[in-house]
Parts: sequence; C-alpha cells; structure tokens
Amino acid sequence: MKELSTENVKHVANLARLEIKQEEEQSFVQHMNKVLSYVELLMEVKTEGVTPFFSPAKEHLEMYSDEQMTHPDVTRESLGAEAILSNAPSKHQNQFSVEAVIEEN
Amino acid sequence: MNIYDSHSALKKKKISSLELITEALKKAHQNKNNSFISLTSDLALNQARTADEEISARGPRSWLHGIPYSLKDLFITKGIRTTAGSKILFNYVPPYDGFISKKISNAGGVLMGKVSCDEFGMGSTNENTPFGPVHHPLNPEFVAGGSSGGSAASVAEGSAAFSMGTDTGGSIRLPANFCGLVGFKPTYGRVSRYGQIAYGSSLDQAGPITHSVLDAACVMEFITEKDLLDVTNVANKKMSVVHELEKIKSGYLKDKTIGFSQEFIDACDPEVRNSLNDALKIFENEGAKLKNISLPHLKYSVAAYYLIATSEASTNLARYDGIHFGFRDKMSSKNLEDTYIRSRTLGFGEEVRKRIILGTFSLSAGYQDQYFAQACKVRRKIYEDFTTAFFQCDAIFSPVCASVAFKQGESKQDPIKMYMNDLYTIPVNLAGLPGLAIPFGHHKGLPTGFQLIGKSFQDEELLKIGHAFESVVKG
Repeated sequence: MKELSTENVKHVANLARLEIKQEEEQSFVQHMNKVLSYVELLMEVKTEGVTPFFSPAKEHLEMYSDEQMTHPDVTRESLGAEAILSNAPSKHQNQFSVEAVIEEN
Repeated sequence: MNIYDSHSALKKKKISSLELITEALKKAHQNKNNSFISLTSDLALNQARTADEEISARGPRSWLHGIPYSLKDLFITKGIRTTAGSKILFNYVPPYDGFISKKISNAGGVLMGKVSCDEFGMGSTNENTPFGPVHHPLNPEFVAGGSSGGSAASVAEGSAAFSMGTDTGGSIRLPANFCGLVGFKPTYGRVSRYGQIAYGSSLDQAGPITHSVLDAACVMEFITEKDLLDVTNVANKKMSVVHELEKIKSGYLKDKTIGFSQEFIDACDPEVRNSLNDALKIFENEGAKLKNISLPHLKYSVAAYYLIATSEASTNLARYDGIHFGFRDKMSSKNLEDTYIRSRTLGFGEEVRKRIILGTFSLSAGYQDQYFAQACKVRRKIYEDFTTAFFQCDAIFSPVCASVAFKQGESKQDPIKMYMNDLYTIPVNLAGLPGLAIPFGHHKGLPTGFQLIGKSFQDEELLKIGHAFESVVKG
C-alpha cells in the first residue's frame, strides 16, 4: 500500500482521541509506515477459506464441556458508589463531573 | 532466596518470616535496579508477624505462607496504588482486589510491593515507563528485559522470593531469560485475568518468575482455581503438581520426544546457539528423542502479533477517558472532547500512543479485512503448525530470544528490530499455549537459556519436563 501521510496518521489518532504533538509528527508517521510496510509480509500467506482465529477462548468453547466453560448466573454485591467514585478526578454529589458537553454560543 | 527451601526452613522453624522479610526489605530499600514503583514495607512487616504467629501455632498453611513476593504493577491491589507503569494511572488506588493478589494473599504470601514494567506491558526492555528504566541485576548498563522487568529484577536481587508477571508476547519469559530465572506463562485460560490490567485480552496471561521450575509449580498451585469473574477461564482441577515434581528422578526424560527447529537455533547469536545446543545434548543424554520439526508459519508471528495486540489494546485502552479514574488534564480542557484528547495525549507515553494509533488503523473501516482479519487468519495457520507438531513430540524446545540482554537505549532506534526480540515468545501467546523459560549457562556474565513449549492445558507435564531437566543440571 502507499505510505500514510501526516494527515492520515493525525486522522487515525483523532479517532482514538489522541493528539500528535508537532515535534512528534515525524516519528509517529515513520513508525506507522515502518510497521505497515513490515506487516505486508502477511499478504504472502494464502488464507482463502481459513477461519480467523480471534481467541483461544473461542477454541476452548468447542473443546470443553458447558460445565467447564459456563457458570450459574448468581447475583453478588457490587462495590457501591463511594468506592466507584473514589478515583474520579472530579465528582459532584455521587456523580462524575465533566466539562461542558454542549458549548454556549 | 527461593520458595521451596524457605518454606522448608519455616516449617522446621530454622528461620522466621520476619527474618526473611527483613532480609528482602534491605535489598528492596537499596532499590539498586529500580525494580519497585511502590514499596509496601509496613504492610510486609505486619504480614510477616501475622504469618509467624500462624506458623508457630499450626505450621505453614501453604508453600507461600510467610514468603516475600512482588507483584507487577499491572495487578490490581485493593488500597495499594496500581499504576500499570503509566502516568495515566499515577495516583490510581483500586477499590477492589484482583484474582492474583487475593489468591496469593489467602495462601499467606507477604507482599513486598508493586514492581516496574513497561507501560501497560508494552515493551521488551522495561525502558518504556515514566518511572525510569529497570537495570539488569548483573550489569546496570544492560536492560533487565520486559515488560515484567521489575518482577525479574526483584527476584534476582533478592527483594522477593518470587514475582507475578504478565505475558502478552513474552513479557514473563524474556525478562526471566535475560536475568537467569525461570519464567512460566501458563495456557491461556488456566489463570484468571480478573484484576489484571488489560493489554491484549486474547493474549494476556499471568504467571510466576522464580528461581526454579519447582518454585514455579509452588506458585501455580494457588492461582489455578476456577474464577467466575473471568469468562475465558476454563474450569480445570486446581493444579497439584509439587509432590509429583518431588518424586521425579533422572529417567523421567527417557522416551520423551522433544521437538525443535534447527532453523530457529541457527538463527540465534553464537553464544545463545551454543547454550541451546548444549541444553539439547543434555536432553539427548537423558534418553529423550530429539525430533527436528517444521513450524513454517512462525516467521509471520511478529507481524500478526503487532496488528492483533495493538487492535485489542486500542479497544482496551479506550476506557482511560480522564473521567472515571486516572489522570485528567484540568488545565487546558474546555469541553468534554478536549478532556478526552488532552488527558489521553498527556497521560499515555509515546510507545502506548503509537500502538493505540496502529491498532485503531488496523480496525478502521476499509482496512480491517486487509490488516486485522488477515492477521487472525495467519494466527490460525500458526496455531495449526503447533497442532501438527504436537502429534510428533511431547514438548517443543526453542530459543527465548536470539540474543542475551543488550545495552540500555540500544533498541529504541528501530521499532521492527525491537519487536523482533519477541519472535520466539510471541507464537506461544498467539496459539494460547504454555511456555516455560529455563536458565542455562552464561556468556560474558550475562545469562542464557531456552524455552519449552507445551500442549494446551498440559501445563503440569511441561513443568515436569522442565523440572527433570533442572534436576539433571543441578544434580
């Protein structure tokens, strides 16, 4: 594939809610292109009709009994609001507090 | 300081837990390898005193009772800061306990502290962290290996008798190998991942770094119970293997077939190659059959891994939003969108951001089939290579890494070169198999060793073969 431009990489970064600092642009773009050119190697493997392997867990489902792979649905106590909020950078009356979602004109 | 002998000494009352902990704390306070992110000295001293009371009343209740250990800072510990080696979790104090800390604490293990790692487990050198690089315990100019570098260094320097690490592409086995220790990555699904901060969920697995295979078995017995809180955890019997290892005499390796790939061995640096060939000779002398096997798709492992692991990381790390927990940039955020972007950009280190971007790209519309899906298909081919090979052998012998530990700063130049350090460990994670790194020999003061790869869920058999080898070498 053709090389990704700085704009391409910035667009992908934004999808992941990341910003690329100006002094890092070159290094990030180079990294992406180096890795993408290396993974081209995968294209030489003939994979027609091959089922993707997403996780060993999916293979285990077919190898082991339901008893081994599942469990009864039992209720248990959850942590509670105080514990959940204990690490919140900002909170207000038992709620997470955030900056404005819709800005005033 | 190892588990098995310390346990024995505690049982015979030749030593107290407090003495073990005091000795370990001395090393931990020196922190000469920068192993620790958070030291829990007071907790350790209290736990040791409790352990001594319990042991004097009823004897040790487990192999781990009264024994000092460290936890990679990716394991959630209730009330104890857990950073994942990242600025984004710099002040995070979990309100709950993960599976590993709970089980080892129930067994009576004494926690010395939380040890360093590459940020979120992303790295092979333990240099990618704002807490500073971990040094090789035998030579500070060299890397300890990663990502569980703090785990390996803490065990090697004697500030812990064992450590729990995590392994997504070699992060237990590589630092163990570089530091001359045993590192065990169990079969995927054998140990619950509940409370283990996620990197690549289909690859991550926790395991011990220890002084011997016997010690690794001592730890495994307490972390193999079924856990309802990890859906990928397979219910198997709790592992009970130490007493079986104790019975193993020379002769166990007779009639075992050990598969190996001459091609992999030949591709290693000469000093590693010599050590590998010598180790193979020992297997042969003990009566094992050696079989040269073919694993034709393993050369695609690194490429497949860097798409799969980063794709999974990009979704797993989406939870760090600057809102629920962790770092928030409060200075420059004007609105919600800004909070996300500024907190994540300032909170994550460079390597983590690069991997998130790569993973996001590989999953993005228009590229998913070409990248992520193709990588998963190649993953199937790698899995099938192992399945075929295991029709012909009981375990596979392989390098852990083509080189011994290298100098700090050396691998930063070229990302592909850095990623290639994991060429021999990554396939094991892709296929979900157990992998055991065993130290064997030295070259110019740096340890060498090898890896044994086992069949799925035959972790016990792998430990037996490894222990049999160690028994021969140690005599």
